[in-house]
Amino acid sequence: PCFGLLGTTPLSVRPRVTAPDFPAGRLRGSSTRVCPRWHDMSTAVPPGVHSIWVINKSGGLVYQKSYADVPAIDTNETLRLASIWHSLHAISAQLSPVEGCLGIELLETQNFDLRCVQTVTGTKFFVTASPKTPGLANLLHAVYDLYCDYVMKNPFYELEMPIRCELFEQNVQYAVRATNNAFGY
Amino acid sequence: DARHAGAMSRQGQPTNIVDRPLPKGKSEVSLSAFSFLFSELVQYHRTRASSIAELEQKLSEAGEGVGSRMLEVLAYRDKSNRREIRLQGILQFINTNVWRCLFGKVADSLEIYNDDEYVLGDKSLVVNRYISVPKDFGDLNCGAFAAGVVKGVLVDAGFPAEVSAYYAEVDGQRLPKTNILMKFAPEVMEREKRLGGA
Repeated sequence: PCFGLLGTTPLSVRPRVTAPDFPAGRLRGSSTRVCPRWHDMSTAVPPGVHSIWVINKSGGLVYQKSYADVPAIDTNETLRLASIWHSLHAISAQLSPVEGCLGIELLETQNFDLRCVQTVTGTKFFVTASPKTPGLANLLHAVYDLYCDYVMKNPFYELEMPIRCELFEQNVQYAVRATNNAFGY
Repeated sequence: DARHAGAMSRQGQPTNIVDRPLPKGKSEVSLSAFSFLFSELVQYHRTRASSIAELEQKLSEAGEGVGSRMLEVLAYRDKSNRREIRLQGILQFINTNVWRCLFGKVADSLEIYNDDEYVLGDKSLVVNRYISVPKDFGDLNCGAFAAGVVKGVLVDAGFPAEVSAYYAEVDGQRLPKTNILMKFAPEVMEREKRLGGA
């Protein structure tokens, strides 16, 4: 008999892999960290919004915070991921066969959704959340508004530097909570 | 030259700016525009001040200019045309008229701490709304600008005082409220006593 980790329904037992899975598994939504390929992953994905990232116009990470029980990513790793995303975003805009493409807006994977918004000044806001979470675009625009208010109007904030504004962080937290509550998460 | 002094433009308005009537007031300014301007003011002084106290002093001085002008304009616009000579009167004037003209609302509370110390409280001071002071600036409060406005009004009305702004935690409220402490000079308190009443 095999028992599931959560003590509910038995999951099929697979040995924990010690090396990251290669392309096919990775593109289907595993994070860059080691992740076992369970068949029934949806029970392990926390519902609602996972994290919010803000990237400045040169590709440097200025804000990253997790709002759900997702595996923590090391700070240097987050910087690296942000600059990779910045590059991918730019590449996707150039690869488009249609004129006027603005870059990746939505990335849907098996275990999470990523929605991204780029402002006219080149600042990118993106949010990761559980699949099919509604209201992410509105959340991103709300975060952009909060950024314009509590970061840009703060005399103690240096442009393009990591955001250390208490009021911004508090209000983003409320916005995330409101998004989660609005849809029953 | 009398001809130029009374010259009227085609609309019937005197061309000389000193002869035109004062504008009615009640015009609103974009909060964003003010916030950006105030942010620049704080940054400008931050690079030129050598300590937190000096920075607050500079902001206060900037506010004093605003305060003395506000006193003149509001006293002129006030229908009753009276001059406040009692302490209660000038405090009420600041509490309602000045605050309403500058920030669109009346100040939240006005209390007396000691004989010569009064405190004006505001739960969310407009000038501080978007400012998050980092930890290494200690207890800097950019409400020093508002404190300067109050000082400008008081000093020009004949009530010399030391005015400062500080944060005060409030139970049940996440954000601290800003208190503006006014400590009046002894001659003001003596005059109050002479005029009758404590």
